[in-house]
Amino acid sequence: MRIEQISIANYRQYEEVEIEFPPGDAADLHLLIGENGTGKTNLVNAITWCLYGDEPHLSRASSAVARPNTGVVDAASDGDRVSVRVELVVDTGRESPLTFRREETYRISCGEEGQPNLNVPVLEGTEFVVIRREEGDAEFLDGEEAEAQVERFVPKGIRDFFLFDSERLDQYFREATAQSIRHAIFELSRIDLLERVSKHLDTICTEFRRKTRKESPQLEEAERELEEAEKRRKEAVSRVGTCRGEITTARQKFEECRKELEGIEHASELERRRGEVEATIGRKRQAREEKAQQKAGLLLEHGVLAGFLPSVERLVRSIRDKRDSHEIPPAIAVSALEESLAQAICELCGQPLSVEAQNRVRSLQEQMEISAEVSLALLSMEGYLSQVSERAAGFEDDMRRAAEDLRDLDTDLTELQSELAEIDRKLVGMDTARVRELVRQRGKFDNMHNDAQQRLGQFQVQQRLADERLEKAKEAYESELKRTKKVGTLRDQIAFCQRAVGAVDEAKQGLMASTRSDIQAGTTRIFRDLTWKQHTFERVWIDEDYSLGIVDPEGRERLGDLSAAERQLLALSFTLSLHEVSGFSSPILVDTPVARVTGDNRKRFAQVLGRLSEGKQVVLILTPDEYSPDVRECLAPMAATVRRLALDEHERSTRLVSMRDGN
Amino acid sequence: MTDDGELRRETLEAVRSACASDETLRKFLVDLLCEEAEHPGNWRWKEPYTQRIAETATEWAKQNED
Repeated sequence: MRIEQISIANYRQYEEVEIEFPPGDAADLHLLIGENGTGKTNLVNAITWCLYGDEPHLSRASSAVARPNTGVVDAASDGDRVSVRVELVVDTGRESPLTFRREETYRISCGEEGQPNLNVPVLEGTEFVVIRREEGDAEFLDGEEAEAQVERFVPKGIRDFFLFDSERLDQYFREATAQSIRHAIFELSRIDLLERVSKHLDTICTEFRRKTRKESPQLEEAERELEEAEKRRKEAVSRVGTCRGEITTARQKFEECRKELEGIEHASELERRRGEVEATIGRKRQAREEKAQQKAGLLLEHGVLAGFLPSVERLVRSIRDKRDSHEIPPAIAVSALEESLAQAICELCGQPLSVEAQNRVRSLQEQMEISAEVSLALLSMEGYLSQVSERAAGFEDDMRRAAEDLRDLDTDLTELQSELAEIDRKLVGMDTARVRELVRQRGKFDNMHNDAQQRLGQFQVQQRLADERLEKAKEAYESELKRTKKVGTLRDQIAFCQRAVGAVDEAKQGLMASTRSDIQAGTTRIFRDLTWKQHTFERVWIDEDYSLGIVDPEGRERLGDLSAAERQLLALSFTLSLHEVSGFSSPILVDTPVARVTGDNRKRFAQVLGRLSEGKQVVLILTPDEYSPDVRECLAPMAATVRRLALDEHERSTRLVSMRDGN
Repeated sequence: MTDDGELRRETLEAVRSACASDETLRKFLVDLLCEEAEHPGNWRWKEPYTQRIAETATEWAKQNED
């Protein structure tokens, strides 16, 4: 299949353009050259919008702008209608050409009087049809029938392998799971046809078998058991398949993390140690703060006293001396004197007191009161001053200890700060947040992988049991079927269906293995043709689970080491190999195919793409920079058409100019 | 282009190999594969399938009687 013509009306910067693609003699190659902003990518968008109703390659700026050409909209009057239309005429190779047409109708609404003149297109309707013209008659297909024709031409699920720019293909490839790669291979290689036949035959076979139930109870029981056993086996196979997929995905993701961490692994250790050091510094600072406050408290509480300590000590000694030398009156209980006076009997000796004696006791009582007060005051002062003296004496030790502790803490903090500085020096240039995240993700995928491995073992056991049950059920059913005479025709049909399903499944297995092998070999060959590193990469592999890798001559996995440009090469190599092996005849359209490639490698790219165009239609959309002399020298001679995209003088509309001479 | 339309040579080879010498089965499967290639997406497949099975199964059973 090939595109014969693209017609565009009022779609974005394409006001009215018709592009024809006549086949060349030796190659079906077509080149479109355009500066940035001339509508290269919107040409791809026009095609995807026509076929699928979306514009996946739209830039952020363009997505904010309505689809109708702005020049046409601005020139319209209020209430005018503008039609946006893209048509693709496709030569299917067997039947009449098909025309894919998508059209949107807009009503123009102008700004109110007094306001800036801003015409707004308002969508009124949309239509998608596929037209088949034959001998003057036209058949219009819409809805599901139209979509079915699109699927025959370029299936939506794998369109990224047909209509792409190199960067988007790389992104698709990187995000692709093994399942999506398998899907791409199956659809492009038409292995999906075998799957559909198998599935449909299986469905019909099940219906035939159900019809036999009514012939005998034994047959019904055997058939129900067979149906149940098949269902269980499908579920078991599905669980195993899903689990394998999870293992593959977890392994891939783990490897990606591991590769990225390689060489900066110690950064995670440094980060961990840095955290520990920071926490210790925090604790030490807190302790230092507390110790400093403690020292200040000591000074506040005892500092003044410490200044008076010698005087205090002298006073205490003086009081003690006077007490020891009995110069301080003993603390005679005044109550004894009072009692003596009251009784007129001496409390000490028990003798009666004369008047004179009572007067003397009364005088002593007066003196005692004074002396006792003084004595008490001196003795309590001695007690207090002794405590002050002790505290003041302890103050020096406490202050000394506090100072020592502070010095120790300062020393520790200095050492820790040095270690922190050393760690930071080693971490300079490393994205430590990224390292932490990678370590976390690596652990997560490692756990996922291990969990899935464990579950896989269990699921495989379940599948074996399900297989055994299914075999027994099949034997039992076939045995009953043979015994039951009334089911003659049905028996033949069931046997035939089963044999057919077996043959289709066998064909599918063989085709999967050979296709995978061929695509692997093709991808390796094309990649090695394209890459400038001839000694770094040995081969590409695609395993049974459809995960893809690339190894060096020593057999080491290198997928994670690929640069962005090399990944793009790999994605392109895989895509081209898919097309080669599958023989899927739909065209390839590549936007900026060599943007990320430099020097001699561009010529290699051009040669590979040129070779591809010998077997199918290839449309390349390039910038003038990409269409360098080397590339031009390679592609221009074999190109059927070479055109330039150019904006008109108002920069509102793109037109095409032939560049047949290559200028 | 072969008579089998859009089918790949490799697909036809795989089917031929799986069917061994069973020519009736091979033609039947190639016929169905062509139908599937003509009808991508959802289509009313049951009737064509049932009809072809009905046409082929009895003859096939006779050829393959033990």
